[in-house]
Amino acid sequence: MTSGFDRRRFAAVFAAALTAPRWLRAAEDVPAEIAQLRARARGQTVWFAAWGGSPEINRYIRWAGEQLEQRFGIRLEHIRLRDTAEAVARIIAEVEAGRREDGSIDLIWINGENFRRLKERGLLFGPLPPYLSNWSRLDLAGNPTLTLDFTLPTEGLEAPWGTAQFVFLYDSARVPRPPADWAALFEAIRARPGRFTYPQPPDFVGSTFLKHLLYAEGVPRERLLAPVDGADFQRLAQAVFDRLDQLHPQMWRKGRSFPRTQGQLHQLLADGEVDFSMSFNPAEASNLILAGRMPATVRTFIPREGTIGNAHFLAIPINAAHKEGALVAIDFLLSPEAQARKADPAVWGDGTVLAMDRLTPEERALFERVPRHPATLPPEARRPVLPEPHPDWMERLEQAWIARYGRSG
Amino acid sequence: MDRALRSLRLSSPPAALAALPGGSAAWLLVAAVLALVALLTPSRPALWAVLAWPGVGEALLLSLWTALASTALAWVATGWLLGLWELGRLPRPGLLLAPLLAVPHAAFAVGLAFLLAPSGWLVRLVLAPLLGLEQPPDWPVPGDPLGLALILGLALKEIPFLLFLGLAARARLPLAPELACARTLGCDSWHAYRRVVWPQLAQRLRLPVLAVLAYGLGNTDMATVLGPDLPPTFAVLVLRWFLDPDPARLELARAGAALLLVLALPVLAGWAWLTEGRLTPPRGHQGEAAAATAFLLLLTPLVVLVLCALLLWALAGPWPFPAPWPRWLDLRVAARVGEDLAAPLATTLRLGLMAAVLGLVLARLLLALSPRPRQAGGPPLWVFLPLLLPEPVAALLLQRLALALALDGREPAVLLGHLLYVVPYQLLVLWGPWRRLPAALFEAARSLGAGPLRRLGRLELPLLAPVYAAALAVGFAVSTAQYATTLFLGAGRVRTLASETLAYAAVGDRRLAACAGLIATLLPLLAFLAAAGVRGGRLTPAAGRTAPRSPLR
Repeated sequence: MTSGFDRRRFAAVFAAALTAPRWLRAAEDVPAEIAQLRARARGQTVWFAAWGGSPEINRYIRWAGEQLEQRFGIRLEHIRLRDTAEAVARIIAEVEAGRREDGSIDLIWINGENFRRLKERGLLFGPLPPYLSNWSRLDLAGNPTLTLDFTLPTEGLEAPWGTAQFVFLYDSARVPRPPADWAALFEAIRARPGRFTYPQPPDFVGSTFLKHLLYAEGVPRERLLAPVDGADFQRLAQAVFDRLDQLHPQMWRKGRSFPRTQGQLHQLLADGEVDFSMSFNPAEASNLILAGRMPATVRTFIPREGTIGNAHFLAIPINAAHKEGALVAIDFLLSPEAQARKADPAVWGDGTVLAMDRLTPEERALFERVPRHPATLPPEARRPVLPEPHPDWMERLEQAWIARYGRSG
Repeated sequence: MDRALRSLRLSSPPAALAALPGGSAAWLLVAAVLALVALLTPSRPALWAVLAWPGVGEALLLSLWTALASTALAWVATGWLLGLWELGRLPRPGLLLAPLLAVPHAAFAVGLAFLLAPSGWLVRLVLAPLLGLEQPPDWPVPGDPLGLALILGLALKEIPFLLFLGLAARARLPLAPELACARTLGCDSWHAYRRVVWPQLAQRLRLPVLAVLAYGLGNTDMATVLGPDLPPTFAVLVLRWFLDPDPARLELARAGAALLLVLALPVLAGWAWLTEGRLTPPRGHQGEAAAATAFLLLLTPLVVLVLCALLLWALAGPWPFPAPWPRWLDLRVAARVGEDLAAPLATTLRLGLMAAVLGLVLARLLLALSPRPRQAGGPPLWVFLPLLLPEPVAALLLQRLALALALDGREPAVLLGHLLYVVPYQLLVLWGPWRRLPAALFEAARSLGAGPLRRLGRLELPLLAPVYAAALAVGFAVSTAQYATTLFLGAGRVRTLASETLAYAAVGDRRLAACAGLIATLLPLLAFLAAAGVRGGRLTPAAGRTAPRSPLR
């Protein structure tokens, strides 16, 4: 089905819906407008562009697809991306080529500079909240990263899907006591030559490691939250590259080559080739242990200074062919059932975006049943949470890294 | 299976270059290359951007060095091995070759990488117990800057291919009189092999070895896993440009492919010219022969270990260093395959079956349309042409076509890419047996009023049933192993077992990579087995004198 989406009519209907008090009720008892949306979505195939670098996450998306098919008659097709920028480039190219109605991507998993690129060009459909029955249960008040994506206000153009915080993984069988702070980590790298590395930027975990070095080298936070030009960047980031120049000879393969993805770094840790790995998901270590891909002795730590936390989002391109299906899919992915399953480390272990005090007791019980695995740090042990720097920093860091150490694409 | 494989024989000398007068063949090639470069339409800024890319010189050198070194290694090893078999010093490989031919390059590379890595199986089995290693050494293997792991991988994968064609060619060489003559002249048997048998075999293997060289120059699957990074080989750079989110990089990929093509032509021609009559097996002094035998005896277990490593990793539970074996076997593997690999498995089967059948139809049409060669000979150069193009070149040319047809990123486009490689191999299988069909029999059928379809259905198909079955199996195997064409033409959206093998390796899930690779090995093996079971039709005794010997007998 490629029927065009009648925005004006829906806007009128949902303006009315917004004011209706029953709007805040549980998902089963949906307003007529949502029910109508679901009726129109039936039979659609939603092309979901999402990073495909984790078999566990891919499995979760497949489960969501099965649920959508059973409950709403919607087919979810996962377009597995190596890099979300691929899909962003595709959307931009399609719209530039005049394909404004029947784009090839209906739903995209996104945040940070990719969100900025689409938002700046006005290529996102929305605001989404009026179409989502679960929007009112989001923890918008308690978690500022749900509405500020890498310092950019989301303005309802993307719906928060999950929360994340950067953690290091280590094998407690080889490293009895994890480094307490950044200085101790640098010391550990020096003391154990060849036992540390990081994924090669632009892998996003590798790029995030570099962003932490900005914090660790004392670049003021207010500078990191603002846009940065070339000259300022060069001056402020110099300490990061000095540090890398100094550490690389002590790293795995003397810093002459790097794992290309975070998955390959995990594999190196599992093989015992390095002592540390890193992840943007505090529960990923647990997830990998439960999947049998990591030794059971692997644990996580964060340096005393804290690590970057962020949220990841779902958005609908302006030229999506199946907007109704995409909206119903987002609404389902935000439901307590889908969010609780996602939080289970045996499934994915991704942090929820829902506010527990806005759920019914039965819904809360879904989350309370999720077991805590010893490799996952409890939230109170993960403070402080640092904000994401402005997207400019990430782009410039990646470019500078590739120019300095890359010599390849 | 052995017989099915044996039917893939280069029946007689593929002296295709010789079929045309030397000069005109060369000019034809140059014209063809120029036309192809024009089709890739590299813009001048894009060409400059490619040449100015950081590390591009090293990448080009690396491509040249790994391709030439691996081809030379495979060529010399093939010469030695064929000689050792000629002299009866080694048992004939028989069934052993089948899995080696069936395992896709991608899967082989993943298995070999695990074998060679500092935390790999070889270190665990040999070095760790010897030296009491608690943690793996920090060696840059695989991915060493000189590309030695890649060279080893390419050579190991190509030796079985050349051996197989060499053995098939040897079976058709009636050299007994010449050998007897050589012996009466006082040559020892190794000398006789070097002087009498090898030159003939070498000539028949000339085009296949060029295909091996072209694959070495353009391969992206083995180079991704075994080759260095920062920079990688040039073909891998082209692939990365192609897959880059920035659409401007597509121009770079096209310009890079054009450059690769222009580079490949003199390399291929130079190889053909320079190695003519050179690169013979060693003289066979006692020491040399012993060294050669020892080298080969080391290689064989390595290849077997690669397959074992794949099998073991597909089933492995936790397997920490330095344990030589997994703690236990994880039988959730069946569930994983069902969940994660069902879709790529279905796509692989669909593409493989369609490519095999469509390819066979195309190959048969091409046979009927091709002029009868002046001399009874093997397949001419045009049959080999697609195999002499480095993979990114062929794939990007087809991608342009697919783009024009709005098919890019879809299965039909991928099918097109697979056919480009499937049809030549099927032609190789069909060529000899089809040419040897008894013309008189078909004349008789025609005079009795049998139309073309009837002649095809009642005479040719029954007579050539085993050959057609072998061609189908080979077509299926070639399609299953395709990586570059699948990726370039499927824009990363069409997922087959071969592409999933490397996708899972890239995200560090070695078990799923091994599972995908293993299934991609088993499918073609099953196809070969099935083909071996097909029997040819029998003719009545009266027709017996003119009936062709089925290639499977």
